[in-house]
Amino acid sequence: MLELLINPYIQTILKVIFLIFLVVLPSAALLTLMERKWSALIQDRRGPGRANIGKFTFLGIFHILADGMKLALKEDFYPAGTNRFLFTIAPYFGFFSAVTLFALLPITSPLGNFTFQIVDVNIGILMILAYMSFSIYGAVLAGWSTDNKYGMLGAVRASAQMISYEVFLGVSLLGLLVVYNSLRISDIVAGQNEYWFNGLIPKWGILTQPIGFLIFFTAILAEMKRAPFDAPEGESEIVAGFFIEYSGMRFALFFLAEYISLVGMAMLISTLFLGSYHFPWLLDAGFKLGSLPLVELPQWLVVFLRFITFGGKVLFCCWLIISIRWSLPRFKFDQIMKLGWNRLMPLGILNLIITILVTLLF
Amino acid sequence: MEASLLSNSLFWVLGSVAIIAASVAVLAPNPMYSGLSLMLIFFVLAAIYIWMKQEYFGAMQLLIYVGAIMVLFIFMIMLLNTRTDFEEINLNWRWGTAFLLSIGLMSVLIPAVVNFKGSLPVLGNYTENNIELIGASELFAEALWEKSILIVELMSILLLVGVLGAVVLTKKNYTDQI
Amino acid sequence: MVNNYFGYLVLVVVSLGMASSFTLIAVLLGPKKRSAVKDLPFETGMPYVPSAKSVNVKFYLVAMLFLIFDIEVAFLYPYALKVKEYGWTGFIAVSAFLLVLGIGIVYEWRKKILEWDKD
Repeated sequence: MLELLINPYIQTILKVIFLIFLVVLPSAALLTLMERKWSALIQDRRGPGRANIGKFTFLGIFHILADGMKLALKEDFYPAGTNRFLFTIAPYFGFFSAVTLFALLPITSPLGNFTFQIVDVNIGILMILAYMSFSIYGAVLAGWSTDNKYGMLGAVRASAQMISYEVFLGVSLLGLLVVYNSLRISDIVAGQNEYWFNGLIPKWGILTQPIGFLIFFTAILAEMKRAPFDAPEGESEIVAGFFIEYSGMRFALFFLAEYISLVGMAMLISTLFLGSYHFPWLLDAGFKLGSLPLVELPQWLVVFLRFITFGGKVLFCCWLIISIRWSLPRFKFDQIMKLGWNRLMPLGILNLIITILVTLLF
Repeated sequence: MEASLLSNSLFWVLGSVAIIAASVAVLAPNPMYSGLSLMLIFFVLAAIYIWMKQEYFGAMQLLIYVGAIMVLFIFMIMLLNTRTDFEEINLNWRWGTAFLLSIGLMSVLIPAVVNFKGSLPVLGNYTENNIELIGASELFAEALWEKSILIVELMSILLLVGVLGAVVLTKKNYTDQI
Repeated sequence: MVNNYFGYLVLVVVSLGMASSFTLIAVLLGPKKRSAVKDLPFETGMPYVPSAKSVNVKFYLVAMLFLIFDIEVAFLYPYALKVKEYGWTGFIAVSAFLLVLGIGIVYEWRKKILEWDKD
């Protein structure tokens, strides 16, 4: 039995099951509720809270169940003139790219030899960018497979926006690569637990690469097609954009993929720019602030504290993204393109040059 | 032993997927199917590169081919007034040319496969040992930014010409439409 | 090396398995009551017109720009990892590269091709 657990293949499968089914899916489901609650709070109304079992409502948690059951029992609908094969596989791409993102993101520091990361490869960042591009196919196919004009408009807008912002995502990460000198995620994570000024200020990505962080965050919002970048699905002009003809469980795939990728992107932002699972001054051996003496902590406690820290950071990023959605109006599509190509791209290159100069001078 | 068995059979699985996808890409009536199977080929090729321990090649294959070039292809298929137009295109006259070309390709490939014995020696910088010792991305940096720096700079000019060409073409078309 | 990527294989299987089980639920559980009117694509209540799909050529330009700049960025990844080793010589080389890249952006900017409301 114990031998089975040491086998790396079995370990990988267990990690996937743990991460996807016990961490990601529940948090994605909770986020759907959190988004509705939070939007209600911002708009000064009550959010969902009626669904109940007996007298218990549990702050509206049963709405998730009710939603799921409702979607499962809806008619399996596709309009006339639909290419059914493409219609079926279109949501798979978005789902696939959302789920594979988690492969490279560690949720806490290693405990002994056991890492809390599914794969750790030399070319981590490139793999993240590569797998992210799969969701473009989903948008294109969803809009194209049905004979719907809104769907087509949404698909064209979505793909143009996503491919543009993928470039800026890459450009913003170049600066990060210069600073941490590695494509491997675990190296970038370790680099963020180093300190300036004799252990006072941590070298988090957001402090070493402030401009890069801004570009990255903007590009992430656009990649997820969330407001203010939701022109591809702007409900007041093109109704729902590329997934207009989807309903029931097929729509649920898009919906779930959106929230899974919200969790994933929040984790990505935390990992690359907010110091990953590192709590400031919490080293592997325990707390150490500046030149003060070390407060020793057992390893399991450090690992656990870091898990909590990472969870907190991810939750903060999710909250930030959701708040931005409910506070800002939607950009026009040409504004999105101009912001990207005429502002973010030059800014990204400038950021790269400044980073190289600073690296060479100091 | 177990691992190598797994990885060897992995090659056969990936290879047969690539061949099936290639046949679909050629034979499919719908251009979108062809585009998607071409994407699958590129994806499988990336997996094969990684299987051959050339991670960086694999990542670049994913990033450039699957993530950029195929997106452009699919985008083009979408932008053309498809669905109906493609059914009307008569491809018959191309069969002859395609047949001749594939005969030519086969006459090179088949003898190569038939005459192949044992294994090929691994040449150049990108051997397994070097990659483990120096790192794939460092080897690439060396190849690009040290050995062929002039070519990289020329590449940038070539890509600039690409930008100019795209701008000129679309600008012209657009004013013509009005 | 294959061991490293085994996780990706598992994730591919898990994600595609989950997605197809969703489709299976839709096919199995959903009722099927089709009618000629319901089958029409959704046009917000307007009468359905068979599609004449033509798309603004500017989207093509965006796709082209994306491809070109994506390749340029891909050239920069290996350099970004060895900035210190290459020092000022490398900086000059990469500046020339970025200058050419910048000319492309400035050209696209000056030609106002992304200002869709202006022409």
